[in-house]
Amino acid sequence: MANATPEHALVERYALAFALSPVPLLLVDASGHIRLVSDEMAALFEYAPDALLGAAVERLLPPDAQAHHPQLRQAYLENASKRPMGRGRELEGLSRTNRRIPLELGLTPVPHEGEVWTVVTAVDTSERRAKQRAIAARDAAAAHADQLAQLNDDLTQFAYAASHDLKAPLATIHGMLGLALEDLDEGHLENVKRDLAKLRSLAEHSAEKVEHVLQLARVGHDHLPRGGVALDALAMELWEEVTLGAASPPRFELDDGLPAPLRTVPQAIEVILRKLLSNAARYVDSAKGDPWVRLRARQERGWTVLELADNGVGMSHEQVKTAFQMFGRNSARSGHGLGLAVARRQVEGLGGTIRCESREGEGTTFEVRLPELP
Amino acid sequence: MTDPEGTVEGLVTVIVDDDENDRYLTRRFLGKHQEFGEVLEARTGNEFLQEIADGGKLELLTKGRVLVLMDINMPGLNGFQTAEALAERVARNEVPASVVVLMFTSSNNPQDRARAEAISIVQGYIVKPIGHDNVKTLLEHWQASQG
Repeated sequence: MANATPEHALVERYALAFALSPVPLLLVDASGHIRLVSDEMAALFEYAPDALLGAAVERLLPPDAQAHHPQLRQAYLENASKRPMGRGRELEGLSRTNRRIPLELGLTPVPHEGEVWTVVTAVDTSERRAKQRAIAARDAAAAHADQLAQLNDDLTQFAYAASHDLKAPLATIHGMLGLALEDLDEGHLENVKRDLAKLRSLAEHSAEKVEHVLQLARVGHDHLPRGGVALDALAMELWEEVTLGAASPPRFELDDGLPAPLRTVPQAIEVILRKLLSNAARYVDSAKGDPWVRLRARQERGWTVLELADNGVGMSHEQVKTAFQMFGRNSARSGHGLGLAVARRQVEGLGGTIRCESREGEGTTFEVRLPELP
Repeated sequence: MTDPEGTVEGLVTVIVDDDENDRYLTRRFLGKHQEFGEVLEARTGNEFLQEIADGGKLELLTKGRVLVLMDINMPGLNGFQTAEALAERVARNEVPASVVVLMFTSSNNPQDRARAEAISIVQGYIVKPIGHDNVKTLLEHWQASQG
């Protein structure tokens, strides 16, 4: 049964439809007063079936929406068409007990004797929204689980790589000690000396490797001070350091346009540049007549972009893919296989990115993008 | 199997290992056992395939008695990839079918062992460090592979 103010032709015409409709319905006259209410609509707003008749439709709105509503209603009437209300917005109604009801509303204009009345359909979307929230929460939980699984994979990978690469020299040391003892028993002192020299350099090398692993683990945990870094002076100093003792180091070109002091974490930028420069010096292609390494920089929308290019031996597509992995040594010239892994973690620790392009036999370019730090 | 001097006739051992110290160690320990004759070295899997397998040294030097001690973790091709490439050459009759590969590594990882088992020409898996015990194990594996 629909509840209506009596004696209006439109009300009479719609009464049966309202009584039969499973969807909550309202008929609102041109002045915004409620003229017909379906039982479903009254129940939705927790009113007795006829309690809303004659009331302003604003009675069904939460207080924050009431003030503007007459204007919105007027605007609608001037350009009335059948359409959903508040597309893309979450609309809410207010029940008699002040419960907010999430709603999806549809408006249908009903012209009548020079006026426009409106039939309003309302769908309570609380259930749907609760489902959406549950789905969103589930998705977030799944994403979180994925993230944890990824971290766990990384950790396993790290533990595997680190334990393997740290165990290997210990096995060698073990074997070498056995050999040295035998050489000693047999009185081959020259051999003993050679074995011990190898042992010493092995131990030294292993200690360095552990130091690199520690560097990797520390990234992001040290709260290092920020400051301005003069990239040109730093790069020059580091280049001299990494090529110290090299028979014929590549020619080092420094771009004039390096930015005036870059504000960043000086200790991090030093590690990054040292790793990249030492890499460039290491993979020089001595078959080329004029081996060079070139550092350039440019500013790009608040980012400093460093580009370190060389005409060294380069890497294959496969090698580029694993270049930043821990212990990912690509050739017999490789060091501990940690340099680029450390550089990448440092760059990411500064909120930047690093990538690498390379062609075998032609050379390699690393691009480091760093944000200006406050 | 062994000649009167105890050397396995014509046996050539190839050490494939990127670690100079490990090559030195293995060579020294093998040298203490008379069963081993000539010992060759390759510093990477790529070098082994190019210079020793494709270079024809396996065929020329040995008439088919070759024992390869293959490290796993090497720059470029790792030990598995190298062994697989060698198996393909055996399948194409480019390398004597009697070649025996033993993985010789510091990794005791079950996944590595499983991967080694899946490669037809790999006849054993031995964990470093090298010592006299391991040299004996190497020989046993090799002898077992000879039926």
